[in-house]
Amino acid sequence: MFYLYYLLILWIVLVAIFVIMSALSIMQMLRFGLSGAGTYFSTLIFVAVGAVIIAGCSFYFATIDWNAALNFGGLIQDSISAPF
Amino acid sequence: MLNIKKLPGATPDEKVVLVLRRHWLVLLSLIVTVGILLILPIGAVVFLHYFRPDFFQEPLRLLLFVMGASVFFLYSWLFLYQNFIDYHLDTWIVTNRRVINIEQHGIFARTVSELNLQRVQDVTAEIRGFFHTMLDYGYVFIQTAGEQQRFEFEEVPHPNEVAKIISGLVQDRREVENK
Repeated sequence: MFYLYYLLILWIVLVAIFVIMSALSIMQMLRFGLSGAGTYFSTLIFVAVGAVIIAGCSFYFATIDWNAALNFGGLIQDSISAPF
Repeated sequence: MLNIKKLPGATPDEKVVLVLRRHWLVLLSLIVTVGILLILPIGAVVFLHYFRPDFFQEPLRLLLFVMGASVFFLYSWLFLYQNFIDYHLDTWIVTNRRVINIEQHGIFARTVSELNLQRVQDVTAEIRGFFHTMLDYGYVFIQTAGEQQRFEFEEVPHPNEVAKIISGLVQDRREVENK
């Protein structure tokens, strides 16, 4: 049985990798960038957009029943059988 | 963080004259590419809305789409930011005493070179190409007597003016040293 929370774990792992790579990038930017509005502003926009995406997805995922099992057969059959 | 007003090794009479980066047009192709990538999930939603309005009525499909699209978007966004860092950290600083060349290669590689104006032998500006000519950006080459024989300012705005300013600074520096 394939449970939905397997996908959630995969999503969390991918987002964790994103966060680590982002943290390293931000660290380099703030360490070596010229002190000024451009450096701070670009970093702020990057963090804000990323945070909004992750927060938005998290709020949506809070409404999902993750213990449900995945029905691949029904999912694929509907996609194939119903034409455009 | 590098503070322009407090450069490492600065002397009391040193003043920053120019701080240069590559022309913004250099970023344009990157922004267009990543912009298309970022719009793809939204485009997919619009496409499905018109051609398969019942596609997302299956909750599982919506969940899978949100998961896939969010990861795709986040990594595209990170790709854009890392390339912006590569652009933003490439800097050329000209003071009344020296030229500092800071080149970022990716995220974890960086080269910083410094050249005293007394060692400058020749300054050349080059503009080549339609967009370069129309938008007045190009290259400035500084021939030196040092270990690194040539400094290159890549795709900077107003290269002729930059070359003129540097030549003037070199002359002023030589006059000060000869007194």
